[in-house]
Amino acid sequence: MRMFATQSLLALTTLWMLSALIFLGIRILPGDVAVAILGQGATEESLAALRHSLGLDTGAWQQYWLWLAQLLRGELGNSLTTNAPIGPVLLGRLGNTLELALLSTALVVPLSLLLGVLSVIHEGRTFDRACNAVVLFLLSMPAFLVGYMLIVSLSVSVDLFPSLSIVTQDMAVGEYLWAMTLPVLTLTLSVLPYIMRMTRGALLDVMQTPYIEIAVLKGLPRWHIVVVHALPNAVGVIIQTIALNVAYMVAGVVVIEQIFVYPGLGQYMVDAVGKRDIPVVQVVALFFGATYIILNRLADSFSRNSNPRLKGEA
Amino acid sequence: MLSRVLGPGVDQLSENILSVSGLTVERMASNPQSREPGTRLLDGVSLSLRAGEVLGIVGGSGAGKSTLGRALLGYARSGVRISGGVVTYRGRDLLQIPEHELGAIRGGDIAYIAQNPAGSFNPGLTIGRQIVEVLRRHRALDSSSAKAETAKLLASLELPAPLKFMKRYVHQVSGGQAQRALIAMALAGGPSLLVLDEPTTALDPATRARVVALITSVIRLHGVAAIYISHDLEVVNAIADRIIRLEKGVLMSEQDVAALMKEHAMPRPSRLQARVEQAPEALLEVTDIRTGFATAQEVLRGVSLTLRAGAIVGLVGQSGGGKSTLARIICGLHPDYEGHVSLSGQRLDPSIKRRTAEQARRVQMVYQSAEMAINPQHTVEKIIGRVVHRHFGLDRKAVTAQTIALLQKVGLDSSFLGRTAREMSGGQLQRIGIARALAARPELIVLDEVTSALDVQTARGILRLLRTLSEREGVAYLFISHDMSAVTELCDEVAVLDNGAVVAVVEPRSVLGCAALQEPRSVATVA
Amino acid sequence: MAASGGAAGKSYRQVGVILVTLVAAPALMAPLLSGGDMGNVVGAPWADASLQHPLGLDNLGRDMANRLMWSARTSLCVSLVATLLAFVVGTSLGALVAVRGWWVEKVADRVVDLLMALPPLIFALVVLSIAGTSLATLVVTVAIMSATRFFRVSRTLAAGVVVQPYFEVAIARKERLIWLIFHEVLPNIVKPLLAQSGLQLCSALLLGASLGFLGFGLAPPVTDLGSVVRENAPALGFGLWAPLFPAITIALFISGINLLIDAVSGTRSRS
Repeated sequence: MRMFATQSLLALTTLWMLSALIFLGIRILPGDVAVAILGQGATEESLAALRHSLGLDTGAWQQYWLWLAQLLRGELGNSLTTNAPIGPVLLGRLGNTLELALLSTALVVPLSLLLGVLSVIHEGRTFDRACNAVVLFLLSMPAFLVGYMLIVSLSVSVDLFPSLSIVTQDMAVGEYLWAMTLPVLTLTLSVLPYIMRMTRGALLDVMQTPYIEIAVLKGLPRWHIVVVHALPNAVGVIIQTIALNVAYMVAGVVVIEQIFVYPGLGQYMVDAVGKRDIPVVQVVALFFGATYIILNRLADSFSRNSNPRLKGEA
Repeated sequence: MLSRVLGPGVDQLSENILSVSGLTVERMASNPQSREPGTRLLDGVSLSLRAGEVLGIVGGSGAGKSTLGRALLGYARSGVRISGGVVTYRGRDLLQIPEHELGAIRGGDIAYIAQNPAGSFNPGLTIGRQIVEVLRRHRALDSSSAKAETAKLLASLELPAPLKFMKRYVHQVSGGQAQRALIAMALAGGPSLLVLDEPTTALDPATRARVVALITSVIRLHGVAAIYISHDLEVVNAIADRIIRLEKGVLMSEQDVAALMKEHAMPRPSRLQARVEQAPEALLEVTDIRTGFATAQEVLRGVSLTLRAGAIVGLVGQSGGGKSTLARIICGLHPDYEGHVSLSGQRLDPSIKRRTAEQARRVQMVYQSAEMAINPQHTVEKIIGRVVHRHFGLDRKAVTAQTIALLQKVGLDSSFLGRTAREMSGGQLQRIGIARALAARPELIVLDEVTSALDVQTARGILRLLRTLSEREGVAYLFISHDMSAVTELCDEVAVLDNGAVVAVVEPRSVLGCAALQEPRSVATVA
Repeated sequence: MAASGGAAGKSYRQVGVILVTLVAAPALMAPLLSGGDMGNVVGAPWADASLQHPLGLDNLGRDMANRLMWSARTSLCVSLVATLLAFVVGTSLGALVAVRGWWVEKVADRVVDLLMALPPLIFALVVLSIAGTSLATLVVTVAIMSATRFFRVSRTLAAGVVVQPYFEVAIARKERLIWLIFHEVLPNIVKPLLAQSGLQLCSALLLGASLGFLGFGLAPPVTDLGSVVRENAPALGFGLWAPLFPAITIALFISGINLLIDAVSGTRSRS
């Protein structure tokens, strides 16, 4: 329990410092943001007005605490471009991105675990070699390559799935899944190689330990050794990898959403960056950061928790 | 007592349960980590074993004993393969039968007991689970019968509260209990043959005797045949009916084994009498050292010791009793203590960082594991040369000359200059460690278990070297060891560390009969 | 994935070298090979491949192969410089912290934690939204992201060396900090660090490409692989493969590096 408290405290501190960094970053970085947004020919008044709305004219820390307080109250501010509140839009987009991430996670975890375990059971044989080759290629393919190849093969040539995944609230489940298939598949394939490789690596590491050798000398069949003896001892590393990769997905969705024009948080961010809509960028970045930090901490605590020696008396 | 007939298998009237012929095991491909030039770990080894017989296999480290033990189950580690020969168990060649049949024999008919019980159990599964799975695999029992049988087995090995014990993990039980559980696990499959690979090597002398007795009774009780692998001749002597010896993967002939036995039984040559010149004033004075680990239990409780210049003082005591801690304290590597250490009357700062360069130079240490005390990326020239350069600031040529001279002093030559740790054997590495210590022209060298990681022959060589060097260089030694014969051979006098203090400083021969060392220290165990 | 000394390892190495050279060579020699031509319009957009234009034309009618060379050059150079910078800063800091903690350790820890609290892409986007997309900004941002990883890895590796007896021997010899870092620690951590460098190079390349793909690449006429993908994406609607060419180029290079890494630091599996 105490560990949970310390971890949470650490996470919160980092998050807090991150918010400060994000907010104050606008002052630290070179370049006059107001001019950059409005252009060289902007009038002094409009520049001043912009600076005011960005809070650049008052004391940095003052502004920061105001902003933070607002955030904590749930007021996420207004967009520079639309002048509408950020909150509702963000929530909607967040929902979409979460669905994408969750569906992908649900697909990738069992798949990579299965492949990892099977390749260790058949280590050195054809199945293992084939898996390794496929994984190597997937690892080297940027997400947009995977996405576009899927589009070319499953959407353009064969018209099985749509290449634009514009999902709406009132879609039927079937239609929804159909529209989501390619983006989910792309995200899954982007992350699969990492988890599978890590699983395989962690299992092979455990297979080198003396007690596994003893298990072999006890005459136990290989699948039993891999699943019953090795897997539980590799679980910590594996879960940690999964958490880390889910964290990775946080950034991965940005590119995927761009490929499929999926209305998620990533698209929202990219649009905002393009229009230099600073308030939006700050808030969305903070959201991504929070998710990322939480997932990383979870990864940490999982790896600690699965080792009975670290847990204490069983 | 078990009768003894020296020499490899002579066919007797009763049947051979195991018969090995021409067994050859090699390392696969070229392995850069290999120290030996050849790649054969075993070469044409033959032996036989009758039912109920105990065969001892002895040999130095690296002789191939463990490889042989594993090969008897048709197993070779990764990177190694069994390239030839026949291992016949009850009429079937284990090297030819298919994998799943081999799996039925391993753990069932033939059981393997490894050196380290803690390393033989999966830390993530309960002990009971791991014994149950053997029963289910080899005796086809269902879950509940297997659990009951496991409890019976554990009880038969005098483990308390078997049902509760079964639910424990290996790190929750003592070393001795783990040992018994390991034996139970081996017996679970109902084996006719046990392969025991150095089962008592890691133990201190007191526990060793107890475990050997346990193994002997188990063997007699269950009537199994056994192969007992060890580098400790005394232990094998006590337990085996016959002994064979391996040297670099090859079986030694009968005559050599006989000679070895005789040599081993001979009384040790007594240490030369005290040196003629004995400098009267003390070189090193250790006064009332007290230290404790985080457990608030004092490990050293007032250690005092005096070393005269040029003297060789041994330090012995129970393992874990603080000998290494004391060594590190003297060298300034363990600053957390109370008490004083003085060199030639000058108080030494507890931390080496605050000692002067001169003080640091005058006291040197040689480590137990030479391999770990040498930077794997450095050549010998750098390892020794750096010390010379650091302390004496000579130019390049002079440093090289000095380095070669030092190499010669320790019995090596200039061909070693360009070698790195990977390219040297354990004995050579230790000589480098000694040369490095000598390079600083110290007045005292602390030798912390420097022969403990070496096999008997190599250790002998190092001891001889140390003796020669001491006479020639006039350096004082603090020789820490748990090997009584080494201590007797080398030292002028021996300090005995017991219960955190030096209880006696005696003549070397006396330690062999020292009461304080015979009695097992009580650390609550059933071992 | 492959034993470093085995036959499999060798072939991995060979294929790796081939792939890397395949991409890097034309890229680095772009000025020579193209005769200074950075992209002139020579035909209709997305025209088919021909002898003169083996990969066809791009979205504006420029030779695709030429575009690939130049953009690969940019992408590779940016990644290399950023990685090198990150290596020097991150590794020395990490080793320093492991050998002598001081207050530097506490500060570095906090800073690195903070920098790693955001996924690199998001971090880069935030920076770019404020500071704009210039070459310097790009290189520095990518470098900072990589430096944090180098710091962590070199620190862990160095910490492993610091507890070794041979390190203690050096301390007993009263060696100074410079010697400790450069002669005791670094030689022992170089090999795994090389693998890490390869990985970071790939990350840097991907980060740059992703940014370009999202529309935040460098301004023309200089261009990077990600931007070329983005520009040619609409071609997919016509069933053409134009955007796949730059994407595959990236994949080839990264595969090559991965194979090399596996061959050098290899042996996970015992085949």
